[in-house]
Amino acid sequence: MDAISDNVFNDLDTVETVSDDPSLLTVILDISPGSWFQLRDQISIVEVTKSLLVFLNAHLSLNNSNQVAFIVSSPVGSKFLYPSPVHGTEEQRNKPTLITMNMYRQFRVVDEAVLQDLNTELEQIRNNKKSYSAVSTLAGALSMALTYTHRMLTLDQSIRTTTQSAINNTTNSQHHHNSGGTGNSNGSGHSSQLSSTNVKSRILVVSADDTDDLKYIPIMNSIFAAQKIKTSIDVAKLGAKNSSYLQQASDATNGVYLKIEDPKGLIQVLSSAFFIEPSVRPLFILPTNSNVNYRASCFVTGKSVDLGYVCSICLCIMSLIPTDGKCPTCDSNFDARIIAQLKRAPAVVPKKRRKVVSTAPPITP
Amino acid sequence: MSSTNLFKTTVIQHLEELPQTIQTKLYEAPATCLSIFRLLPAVAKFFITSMVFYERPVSLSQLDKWCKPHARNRQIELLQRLKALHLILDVNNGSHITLNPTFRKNFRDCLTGVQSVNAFGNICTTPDKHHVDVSFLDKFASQKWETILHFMVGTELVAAPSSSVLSLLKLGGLMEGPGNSPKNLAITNKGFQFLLQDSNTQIWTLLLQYLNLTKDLNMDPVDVLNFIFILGSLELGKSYTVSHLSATQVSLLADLKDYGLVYQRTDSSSRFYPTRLATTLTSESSALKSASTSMDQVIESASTDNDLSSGQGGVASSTHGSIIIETNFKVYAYTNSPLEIAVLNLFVHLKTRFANMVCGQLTRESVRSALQNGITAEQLIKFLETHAHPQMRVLAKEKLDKKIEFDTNNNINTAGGAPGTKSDSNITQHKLEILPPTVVDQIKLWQLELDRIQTFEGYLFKDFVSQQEFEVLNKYAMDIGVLLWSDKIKKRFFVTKKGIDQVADYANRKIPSR
Amino acid sequence: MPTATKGVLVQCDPSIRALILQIDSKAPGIVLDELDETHLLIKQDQVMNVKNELNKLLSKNIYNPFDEQ
Repeated sequence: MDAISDNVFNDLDTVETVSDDPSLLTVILDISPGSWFQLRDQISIVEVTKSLLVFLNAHLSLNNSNQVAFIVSSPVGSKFLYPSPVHGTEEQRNKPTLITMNMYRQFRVVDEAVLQDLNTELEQIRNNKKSYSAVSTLAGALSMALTYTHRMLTLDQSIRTTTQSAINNTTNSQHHHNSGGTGNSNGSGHSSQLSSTNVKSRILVVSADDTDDLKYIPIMNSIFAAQKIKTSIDVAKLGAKNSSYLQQASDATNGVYLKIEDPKGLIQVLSSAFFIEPSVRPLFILPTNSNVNYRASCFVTGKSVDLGYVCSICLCIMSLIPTDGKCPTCDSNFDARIIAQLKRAPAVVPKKRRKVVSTAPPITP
Repeated sequence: MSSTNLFKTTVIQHLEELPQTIQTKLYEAPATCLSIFRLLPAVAKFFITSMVFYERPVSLSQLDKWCKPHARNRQIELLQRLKALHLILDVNNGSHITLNPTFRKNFRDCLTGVQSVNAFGNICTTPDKHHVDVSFLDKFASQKWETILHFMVGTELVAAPSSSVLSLLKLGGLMEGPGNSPKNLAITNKGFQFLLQDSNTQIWTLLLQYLNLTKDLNMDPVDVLNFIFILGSLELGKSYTVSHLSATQVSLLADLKDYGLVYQRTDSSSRFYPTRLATTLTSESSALKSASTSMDQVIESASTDNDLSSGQGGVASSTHGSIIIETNFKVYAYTNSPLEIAVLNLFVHLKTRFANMVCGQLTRESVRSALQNGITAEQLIKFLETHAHPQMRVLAKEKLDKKIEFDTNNNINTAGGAPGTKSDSNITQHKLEILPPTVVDQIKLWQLELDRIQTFEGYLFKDFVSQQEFEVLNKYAMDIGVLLWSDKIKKRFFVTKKGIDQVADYANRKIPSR
Repeated sequence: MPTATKGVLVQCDPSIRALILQIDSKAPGIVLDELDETHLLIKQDQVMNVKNELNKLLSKNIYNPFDEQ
């Protein structure tokens, strides 16, 4: 369409196309106790949660149809805090409230659910001391966020809280029998859901984990899934080190990656750098780091490698040569001679059979 | 631009035109702050949130660094509008900006939940003798509202809305005729356009007329606006006390009841219920067109022989449409609702009418006449899409599935960039095409054809003595975002009407007159 | 000293520009200045007139399927 219209008009039109569509924000908070313990002098989980709640409120205040989700990732497992799969909303209202009743309704419902469940979650971690050494479950949380996003994007029409559709939703059930005669509304019930809304979505990961022991393959899969549904993954990294996998995640999905040096000012960073809605992203220069470390992790040991071996059949990455001479992933046999060459002492000029991820060019034989 | 955007501008425009004292008074209510914030364009929202928790003034040059170059003009325009609303204020001779302190405080309180008691309405704590539930409210609201719409197109069977509604319709130029008797009123062109809008836009259109009216009635605009904005943040299905409202707001309540925005059992009742029409006032609505709901009702009551009352109150699923469009621009609509046919007649050349359907054709002339009446191509397409026959959706879905399957079979990546590439904006993604693409493109082309020229009022600067003189002024005009065209060789440039004063001032300062 | 002239900037493609110039040649006093390939400066009160004339000229070349029926 644009190709046939005159250039003259396109120049002006491109700027006008920013829409104000509703958007879905999923926040993933990594509460692995070890990493937050490291940061205890700078900031506590409570303070971070406070900032995040205000951030959620701000997102909800953008648009009445905006949606939020909150996932917590702990050594015990990942869990949805909001929308809560367990409690109905009515049940929650009857509980003693942690939040002042005067707060705006939309904010209050979300904030209450998050605070209550976060408390129980932290209790659980406290009572469950032996699982502290478990690896990060961030990858799982990420997949949960993506599946939820996907559902909201395609199937669930309830994200439209507009007048007409909402009225229809409530009254439909009652007046269902009325339309039985036409046989029309029943049949179209499914097909009407096809018209997917223009919901935009993004995911924010808040993590303080410095160990970098994320599961590489699930994270990469999540990245590809996020690309598919055009969801940006933003990462707010606290703590001392950069996380290269999360860096890759935001880099590949056009997200924002920031390592927050001073966690005290978290709310300002959240409300500025992390507040760029997907719909206005084309207009802004994203405050992100271009120096991304694209390293991968070894399929055998799970450690990240800067330099390693690659299987020529399935591109599986290894930091060491497998003892049985077989690829651990695709089970193809490696050439014994070349393995022998590779295993030779470094004094000998190494001849490589398999291409190395990134290394100086081998000297030709 | 979508209809909602156009309309939003008018609400904000209304606010912009208010004097600063009134604006500042408005910002004292947290609910109003929230609502006004919601009505702002997306980029403006970003600027405001980034300043809410930042105490110091922000320098303009800092702000420029956020935006990509092609968004600069838009940014400047936005800042000007925010200044007109007095949401942001100049400091340090205009090199820095800061958020309006009243707004900052109240909006921040609103986000953190520390605002004063009852900022969002006062809930009745005692139970109501006469039980009112959500579905009742929905029924009430839709009945009131549909009555107005049906009245506009002259559907028989419907009782006329109250006289206050009628005078508003007349005042807004949606209907015209001698006197205020309902029988003499006839719908205008503008009225038909009004029907094409979603219900949220329709309500705001009426409310804006109402606001204009309040000026003449000497009602306090702050009171009225605050109440309207608070309505948008009330909780559906809860009752609120009348006793906390000012006298102005109580009188407002009676009128809002006529539009179906609030429910009050009797005029003297001490409580009122907001309906869904009210609680979604400040929400973005890419909503389904309300014309369709009324149409569905008619179909339903005709085909199932329901009694009239249930046909009126029960809103059927508005998502099932009735319009089929073929690639040869022929339109078939299975409807006999006068409302639906009247709306279709706006842009379809209707030819034949049967008992349960009408046939017609989209022609250049029919679409052009709609476009010339101020309906946009976007609106037309949106309308046709939301009213498309279920069969068209099924077909579109099948087509889409086939395309996706083809791509996956042939390893074509349609979903996004490969890892590391950022140019995913160039990669086309398959969309569900409910309407034939030829028709969609043609409607857009017809619109483009209408505005073959773009016009800008302003001033041409020429006769510069030296290149340097030209460069200085040219650069200044570009920096303040008022430059529309310039020619370096002939030393001429064109600035907008708004910018002329600033550029002329600057010219007088920089270029000594001889 | 530079001078400022009040007017309306018209942005269009070259073919339309030629048509506007043609309109101007028939009824002079519309176009104040020819700026470049895609820009013209015209008198403020003539904008609607130009638009109407343009529409007339352009619709001459449009095929209307209903003419034949």
